[in-house]
Amino acid sequence: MEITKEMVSYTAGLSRIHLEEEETEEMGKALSEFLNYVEALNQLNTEGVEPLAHILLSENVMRQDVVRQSSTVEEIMENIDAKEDGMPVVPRTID
Amino acid sequence: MKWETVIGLEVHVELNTKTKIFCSCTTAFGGSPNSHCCPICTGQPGTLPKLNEKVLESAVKTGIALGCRINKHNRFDRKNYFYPDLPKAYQISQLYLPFAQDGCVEITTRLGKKKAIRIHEIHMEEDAGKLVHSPFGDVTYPDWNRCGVPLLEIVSEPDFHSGEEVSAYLEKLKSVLTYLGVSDCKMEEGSMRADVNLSVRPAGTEEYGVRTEMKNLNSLKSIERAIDYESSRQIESLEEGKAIVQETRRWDENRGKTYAMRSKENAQDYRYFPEPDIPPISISEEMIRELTQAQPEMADAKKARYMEEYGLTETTAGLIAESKHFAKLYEEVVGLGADSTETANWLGGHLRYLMGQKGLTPEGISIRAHGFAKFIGLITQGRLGRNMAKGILEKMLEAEPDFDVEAYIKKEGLELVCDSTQIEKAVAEVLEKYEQLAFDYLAGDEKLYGFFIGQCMERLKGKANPATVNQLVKKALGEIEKRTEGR
Repeated sequence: MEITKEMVSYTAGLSRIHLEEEETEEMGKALSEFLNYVEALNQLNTEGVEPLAHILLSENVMRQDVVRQSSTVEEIMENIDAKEDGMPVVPRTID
Repeated sequence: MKWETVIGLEVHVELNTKTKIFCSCTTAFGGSPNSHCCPICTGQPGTLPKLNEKVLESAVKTGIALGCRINKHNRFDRKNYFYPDLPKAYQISQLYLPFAQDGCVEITTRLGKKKAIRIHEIHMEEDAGKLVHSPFGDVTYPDWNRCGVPLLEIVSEPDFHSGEEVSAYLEKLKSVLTYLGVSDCKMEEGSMRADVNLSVRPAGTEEYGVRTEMKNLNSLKSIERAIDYESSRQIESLEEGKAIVQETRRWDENRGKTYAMRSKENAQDYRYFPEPDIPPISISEEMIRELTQAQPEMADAKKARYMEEYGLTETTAGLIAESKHFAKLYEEVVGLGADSTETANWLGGHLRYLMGQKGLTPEGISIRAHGFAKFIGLITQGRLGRNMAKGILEKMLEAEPDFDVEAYIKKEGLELVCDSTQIEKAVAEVLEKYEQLAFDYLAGDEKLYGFFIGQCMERLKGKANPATVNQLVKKALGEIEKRTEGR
């Protein structure tokens, strides 16, 4: 499968990743190569095989409903540059 | 042309677990911004979410109560999107294998029409945060306390044709979920929210029209208004020859209109994929069986029982059974020996009326069973007149739960005299004083009867049980008649 420049730009946009023109081209090639490599799997007959939802064999990993101390507001805000009164500041989201 | 509105609902309900769905932060409402957060619910690198077992239990209970088939094999999926209310930049949800499918609930509309609404599926997911918009500048402040609060998304089939049906369905969901005790379903606090998918088509046709989705609906009233507005808008557009655009529209409560959200918010490509951090969840036959057996008696069953056991009318029984809190109060009051019909009439009648006036919910009232049973007892014993009782009930609603109604009416001198010797004495005095009038009455001047009653009441300072006075005046007049005949 060929990954076009448009597809790379679209995906990068969804992921909020900025790519230069030449990076877009390189990425397209790399992704195409990768997909062609795993294309080999499509030759296998998977009839009657359940789709694999999870790679580990474990299931029902759950915890009890018991409250534990949350982080402090300072800890949560530590890596955020624009903040005010314990809240991040972002561009207005509604008109 | 005659048009038909077709509506499907996506209802989000917050579960009332103590902790979030994938971490041990509290789900308490309120709290200072970003104080109920941890590295897991804010999606820090290297963290591992773990499912809250109580969420699964509440979810399965709900699925069973809404008549769904419970899928034994479950998994979660990752829904990716960038928005400031979601620090992880993805929401863990269930797209491919929802835990419950193909359910059905019966609703009764205000006009008494019964209808079955099919449930397409129910899935578990996590809530996003809240966005606080600055009243001054061009900025928004995210509060992530709600991030990771467990949600059930209940998706109906497009089985509704009016806002009234939608309201009845939401009331029904609220009733079922509160009976199960899995959510408080408070629309005003956002613990129950509905997205409305609406399209119109020429009446009698099968094919669906192009639909719009409305968000931001936070009361039954605004949902009904939004549905009316959006139906009319679509019909008008189509009649003018314009096409309906499939889009998300926001309801503006103040302007009473829906408007299209910015196209950026409309562009949706969530790149779902199986959630790698949560191993599959399997629900055993045993768990389904146990939770099925443990289902509480719900509104419909209670209603039928009240009609059969206490002889209540369908309307009154329904009004009481709909709310878990009301039904509990009713059963406790009757359990304390109060008359079942009198109690039902006051609960379903004047109390509900007063609550509506004051904007109170059944869970928010201060009246307790003991006090209410006493109140009903005073009425059935004839010690409290029905008109007076209405005022007393209002007083009880405003008072503390330990309000002593009996002491109150004694202190205020509102208690009716039921002691027949006292009343008999007054009646005898009146008829002696107005003996001639008594003869006139017996001779056919019937309008004098009211005069005797009035005189007796005056002597008793208006505090006698009218029924007893009535009975004793009749009796005394009858005796005079006998005496005169004997002469």
